[in-house]
Amino acid sequence: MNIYEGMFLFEAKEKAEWEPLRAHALEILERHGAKVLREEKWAERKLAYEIKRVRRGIYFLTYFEADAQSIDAMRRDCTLSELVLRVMFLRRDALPEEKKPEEPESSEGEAKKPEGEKQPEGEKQPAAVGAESASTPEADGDGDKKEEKEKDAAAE
Amino acid sequence: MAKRYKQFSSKNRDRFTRTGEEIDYKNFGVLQKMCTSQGKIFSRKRSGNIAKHQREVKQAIKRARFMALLPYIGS
Repeated sequence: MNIYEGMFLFEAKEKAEWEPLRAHALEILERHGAKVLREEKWAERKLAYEIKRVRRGIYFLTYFEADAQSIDAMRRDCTLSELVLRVMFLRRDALPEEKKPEEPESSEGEAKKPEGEKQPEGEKQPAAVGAESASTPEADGDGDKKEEKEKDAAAE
Repeated sequence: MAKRYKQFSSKNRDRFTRTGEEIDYKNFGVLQKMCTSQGKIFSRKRSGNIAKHQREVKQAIKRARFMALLPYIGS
């Protein structure tokens, strides 16, 4: 028996209820003898690209204990299911500690970063070995570079 | 150019050693910073990652792409 992390992706419909989707995922797991250790609705967000004409998705994160042989069968069941858009099973050495989902309601995913934004110095993009060649049109990246350049000038 | 290199050599350029952030496909906000706006993964030279972390980042980005958290091809 190993510990696995299973991530399910469902379509986020306008008025769809969450409960049947959750039950569906758990049913697939339990059908193959998995013991679910933890489950949470991880996020509901806009997908990075369309999958089967679906733009918004709900992510369902589970941790479960199962036999290695049963994983293939679960994956097959998920592929056959019409509700599950994507599924990914990863083996984990241990159950990770409980922690707050970082941005469960965010639809863009890049609106704000929860942590690690404090250090003003270290956080800057390492400016530019080849800043010119690696053209990144993002506005903030350029801003960083400019700031670095100013700093360089000041240092000299 | 040589001067530039020297300036950054003293600091640890690897984001994950510096901040202790977890490299995981679910942590896609951080992974996004390792990508161009087109969705390409930055080289080690550009991102400053140590080899071990770059390998993990590569794996995590590919997983995040599969789950539609990150784009295969950006805007």
